[in-house]
Amino acid sequence: MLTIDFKRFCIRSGLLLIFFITACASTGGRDGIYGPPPIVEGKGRLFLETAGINRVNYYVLDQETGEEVYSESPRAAASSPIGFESGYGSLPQYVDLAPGNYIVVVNTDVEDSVEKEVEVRMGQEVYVTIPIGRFQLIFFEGQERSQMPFLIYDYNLRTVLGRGMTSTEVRYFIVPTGEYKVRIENLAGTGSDDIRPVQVRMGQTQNVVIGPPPAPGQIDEAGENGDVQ
Amino acid sequence: MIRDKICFFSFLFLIFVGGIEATAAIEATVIDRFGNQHQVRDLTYQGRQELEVYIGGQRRLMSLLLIDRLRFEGEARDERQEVSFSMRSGKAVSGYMFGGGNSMPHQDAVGGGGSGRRFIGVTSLGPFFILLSDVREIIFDQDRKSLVPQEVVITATIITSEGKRYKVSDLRIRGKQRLDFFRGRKKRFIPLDKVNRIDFDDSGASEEYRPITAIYRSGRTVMGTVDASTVRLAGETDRSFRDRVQGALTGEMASGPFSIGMHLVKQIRFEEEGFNPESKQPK
Repeated sequence: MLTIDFKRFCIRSGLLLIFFITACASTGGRDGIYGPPPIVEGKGRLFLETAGINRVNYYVLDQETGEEVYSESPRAAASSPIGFESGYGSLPQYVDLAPGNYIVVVNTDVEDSVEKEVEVRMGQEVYVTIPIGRFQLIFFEGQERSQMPFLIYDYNLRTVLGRGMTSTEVRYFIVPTGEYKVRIENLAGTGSDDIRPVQVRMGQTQNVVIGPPPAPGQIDEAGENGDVQ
Repeated sequence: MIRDKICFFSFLFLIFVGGIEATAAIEATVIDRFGNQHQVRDLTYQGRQELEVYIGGQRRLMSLLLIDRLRFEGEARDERQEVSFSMRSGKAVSGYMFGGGNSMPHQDAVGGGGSGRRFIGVTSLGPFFILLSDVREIIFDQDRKSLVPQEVVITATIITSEGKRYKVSDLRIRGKQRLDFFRGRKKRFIPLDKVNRIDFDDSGASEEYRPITAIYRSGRTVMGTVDASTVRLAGETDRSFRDRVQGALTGEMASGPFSIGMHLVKQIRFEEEGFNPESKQPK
């Protein structure tokens, strides 16, 4: 009799433990693996489709009034020497907005921003495709990566669109899809410049390596979809 | 009855699960260099609804929504493609774009063996793309009943810190009809067609960032700083340095082309007669 009661007690305790574990696991946060929370009542949800680039600086303007209704700036400036990318896989950026017409402006690391008009409807999700890609400029001095300022030009080398700083860490520069040229002056004190064309396609990652090629056996610098030069 | 239910639930599924894609679709007839015509919808250039064009040597981003038709002159092999635009407003513009030459990028180009300069869309047969160098003409089938985004010609009086006044039409700041400024670390813009006056702070031409105050026609006031640096950047060519520093503001005067540096401007007063306050009107 006592044995049966003990077995029942064990089974009940086990079930209770499983219940608590599952209950705790289902209370994921905003950026948990279980997806975003439900849309706030009376609002619609705007998602940014940036093809895997889940951290962009953007803001939302009311189309009627021109007032800024929301902004998010998780990225540091391109010319900042401290910025680097983490490998944390977060959800696409989104915001819940009152129904209406808006303009989404995504700031990139060059002068050109990406703007899209969007209509948000109550209780619905709306996706805005942002045609941006990213590239990484890796500068080797000897066998080590180092920090060097560089300029981002249009393909015609006519206009300086932006400036950046190479990093010893993983760091991408986000630009609208298109063709650009990057220029580094006075390489390693030799007085020579290096100009490289870069094609940026949506969602793709390009790595540009400047300096002596990595020695055999060194870790390959290829990115997610990128090629190595 | 069952079919109706299926349709209804499919609709609900699309709305609640799939969401809605927010893009203004552009339909066009694309004619290649062999004369073949393609009816294309959702037409974009590299995913963007704008073209990077050089007009009068200045880089401009031109929205596809403003164009009625465009035609590429010259040969497919030319890297620099001469292009003439017929705008929806009736204006004719010519310039050039970079077409990628013989469909291959420069040998040093990173990112693959094909040119990325292509128009992308959808035809009745499926996905469609065509290299820019293979296009002869594009006739945009914009919705005739829709509101036509008009090109705005901005006229303003520019007063320099020395007290000189210049009346300038077709004013552009770094090639755009907007002023990019910073509010703290955040980059924002002021559309020039909606602003009445922009005052630049007296802090002097030596400052890299000059404080500004913009007063909108609606009475709204916006403050921030603009890049007015006169420092030459490492790797900057003479021409790009001159364009960036001395040609930040460009336009046309009665006597000819006009350009001035951001560091020299004291005030910009915009005139209402130079633009149509209803920036959109039915065609």
